[in-house]
Amino acid sequence: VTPLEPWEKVYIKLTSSQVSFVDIDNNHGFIGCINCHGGKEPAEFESAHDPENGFIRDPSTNPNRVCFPCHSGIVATNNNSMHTMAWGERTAIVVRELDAGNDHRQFDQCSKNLIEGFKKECAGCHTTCGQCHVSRPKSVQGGLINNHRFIRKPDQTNQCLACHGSRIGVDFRGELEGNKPDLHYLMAMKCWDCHQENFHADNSQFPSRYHIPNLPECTDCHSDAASDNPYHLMHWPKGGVSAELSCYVCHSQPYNNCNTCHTNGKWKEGYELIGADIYKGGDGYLEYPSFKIGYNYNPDLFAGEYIVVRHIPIAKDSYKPWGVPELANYNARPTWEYTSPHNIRKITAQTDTVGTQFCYENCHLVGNKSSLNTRLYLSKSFMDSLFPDEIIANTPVIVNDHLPTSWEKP
Amino acid sequence: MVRLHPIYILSLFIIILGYIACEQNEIYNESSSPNTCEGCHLDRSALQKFASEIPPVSETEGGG
Repeated sequence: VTPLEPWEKVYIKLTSSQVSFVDIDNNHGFIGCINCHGGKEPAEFESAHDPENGFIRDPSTNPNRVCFPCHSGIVATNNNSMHTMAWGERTAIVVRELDAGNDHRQFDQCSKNLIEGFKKECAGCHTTCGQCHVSRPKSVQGGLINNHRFIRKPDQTNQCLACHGSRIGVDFRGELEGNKPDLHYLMAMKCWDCHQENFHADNSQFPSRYHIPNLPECTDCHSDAASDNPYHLMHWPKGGVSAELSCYVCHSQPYNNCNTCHTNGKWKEGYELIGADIYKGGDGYLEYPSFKIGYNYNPDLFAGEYIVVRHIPIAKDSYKPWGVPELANYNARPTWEYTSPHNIRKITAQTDTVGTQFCYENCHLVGNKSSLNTRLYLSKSFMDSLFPDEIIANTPVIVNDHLPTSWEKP
Repeated sequence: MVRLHPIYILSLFIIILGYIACEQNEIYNESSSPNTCEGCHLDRSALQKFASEIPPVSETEGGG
């Protein structure tokens, strides 16, 4: 996202014959600034923007007041949408606090500090109508993107990827060193070309985004690929002859992983070397590229016996700044979770067999490259060396007990 | 019967158009008063004048 000067963020630029905001946005222009934003007009700078005069920077933080009168249907369901309520985040917190078997519906049973902290720090970004349809989102400190004209379809760069940046945007554009852009990105496909699920739907019954119906699937477009080649015949995620693999196992490149995120604004701090003492909590937030194949710990939800997994930035004491010293049931949920990297290529390090003797040489743990290939797997030895405190949480994901007996044990 | 030369009709038309344009310009100027929302937010130089009062923010890609 291109940085904006503070004044640029609130500048409404007129062009040619336009003389007021009404000429930019015919529908919303007639409502009048202060009818949504509050404040005082005419007035000097301070009193015009004084909260005591009712001024609000993002009026859609209260969509029932400003959006509902015209968009009642959408606002009513969107109040319980995944973007607004972050049901998946709630579920993750609930499971690690109250234990497995619970989900977002038990969020109110968490400690008061967790609930308050979530409301203040997480719910503020998840998200308002305006952050998708008027300005850049709060996570990048806002800024009008189209002269305050309300846009039906969010701007991919300035809105979608402004929030979904470090994991989706970086992957999609091929910004990790050694990676190439996602094939779909090179075909100029946009988020909504695949993501046609209803973003405003009431998702209060779903514990995470992966539970939402009508999520994109590779087979929506590649429906006839199951018998394209021997690899697909062998490993197709549903119906493969041998081990069924998630499409991502073969067709994704390394992707961003995160460690030790702490609340209270300590988000992205940039890359650091893996191996520093950053796995045991503290302030060592870390992002790093990695690629790990894990065992599918939730076959009802994800296709394939093996999936790719991403380390998520949770630590036992992630919520310490909220007054929660440690999560009570940190081990109740894997910290290496299913992921769907948006960096798809037909030829990847796994599928590039040029110069190899056998088709499986780049992946299987047999033959000359066996030891080298162990780096691809979420293995017990890997966890022992770098994540000893997270072995219990990730037992369902660690591959050792599931690999063929003839393979070298990683 | 008085017969107007086309040049008079054209002149009258131009005068009326000019009047309307001036009127609109006047309305615009009024709404462009620095003390109105649009007076500032449509005016780059006015906003830049207040730049020091707008909270500075950092720019990063956020979230996941």
